[in-house]
Amino acid sequence: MAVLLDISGLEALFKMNYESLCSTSYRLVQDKEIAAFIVQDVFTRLWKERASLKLSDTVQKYLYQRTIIQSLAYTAKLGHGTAQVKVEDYSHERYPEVELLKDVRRSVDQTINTIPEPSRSIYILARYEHLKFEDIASLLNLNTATVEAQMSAALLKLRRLINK
Amino acid sequence: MYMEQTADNRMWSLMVRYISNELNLRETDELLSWLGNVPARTELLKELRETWDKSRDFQLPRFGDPQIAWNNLRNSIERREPPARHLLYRKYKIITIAAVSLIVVICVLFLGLRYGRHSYSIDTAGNENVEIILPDGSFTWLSENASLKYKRSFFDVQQREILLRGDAYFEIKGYARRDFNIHAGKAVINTKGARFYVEHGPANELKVLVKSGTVVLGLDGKDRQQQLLNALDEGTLYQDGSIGKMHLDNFPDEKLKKRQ
Repeated sequence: MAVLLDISGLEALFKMNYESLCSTSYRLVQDKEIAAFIVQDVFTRLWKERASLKLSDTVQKYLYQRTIIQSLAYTAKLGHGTAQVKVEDYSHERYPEVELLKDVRRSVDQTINTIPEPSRSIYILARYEHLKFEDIASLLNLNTATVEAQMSAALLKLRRLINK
Repeated sequence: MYMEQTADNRMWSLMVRYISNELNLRETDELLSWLGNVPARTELLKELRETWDKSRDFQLPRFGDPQIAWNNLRNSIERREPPARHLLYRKYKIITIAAVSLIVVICVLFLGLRYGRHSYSIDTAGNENVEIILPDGSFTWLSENASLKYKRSFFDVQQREILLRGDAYFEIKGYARRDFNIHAGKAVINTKGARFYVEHGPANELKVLVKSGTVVLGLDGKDRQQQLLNALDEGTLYQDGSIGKMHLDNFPDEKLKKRQ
């Protein structure tokens, strides 16, 4: 399916999806600036290729897929960052529960980031992006059985660390 | 030993698929029968489920104002435009652009005074479907042999208006509670935000199938009849101007598959 997009359409699409695409990328690359850069790059690419783009699904799905692919390519090449999220990055209006759960959440994030690749990426894609194992397998060039095995390994490690 | 390991792998696979919500009915039965009355197995599955639940909240930073990010993106897109090759070329280019702009402005003013509107128009050919993102962020999937037209001032006016010929699927975003009107022949379809499919039947009747949200189907004109349609309602505007309504058990998703 072809896509017809003018600059106002691109603006609407960008503003609607910016934050959640940055979140998707951030979980994988663990660097706020890199995540924002990847999202900008995905939109630049969409704009450049809009005339020749043929999609089998919606533009939104295309954006999420491209963001995941570029974030995975980045982590495969340079690894994921270990950026600690700064407390001042949070707005209490938007995250009122942060103060209460800060320690628990931080330990969850840090724990997930200690899982070796590709288990970490697989867990993140299944848990937060709700991707099916088949889709994860195709994104990472693995077979579905490997994805399941890596997912088991990730869950086992998390179970040990989170419940200890 | 190998058999045991294979069976073990299978059960891990089932547990992981259960937690990720990917089990089918047969696999669910298989997992339940393995769990049986062995408390240790049930406990293990429960712990894995708790681990999955506890990892729900992944702490995220703020990514800044989308408007600023958009300005950066727009600047970067505009910077990519190729620069003029040399001064002479640029001089003539500027003169040409100025002349063309003057002609365009005169034409626009003339047409504007005459017709009072400037619009975008999109037509699809016999074998193509097109996805269109409207300036308010609403989506449209235009079927083959259809056309859609909207004014350039679409986003600035109180009512969002488009003209439709042919079949199309719409996902209309709510935008400051502004009305969205689709004029299709003598029909007008009004909503503030909904998902629905518009199609023409063999007797040239117009059908509106609502997937979610609320839509009003009516006749264009002063004393127009109207029919309120909610999710899973199908409204039909017949050639004689009467409007029928029926309720569907399921939304016919196969109609949307045609668009791909």
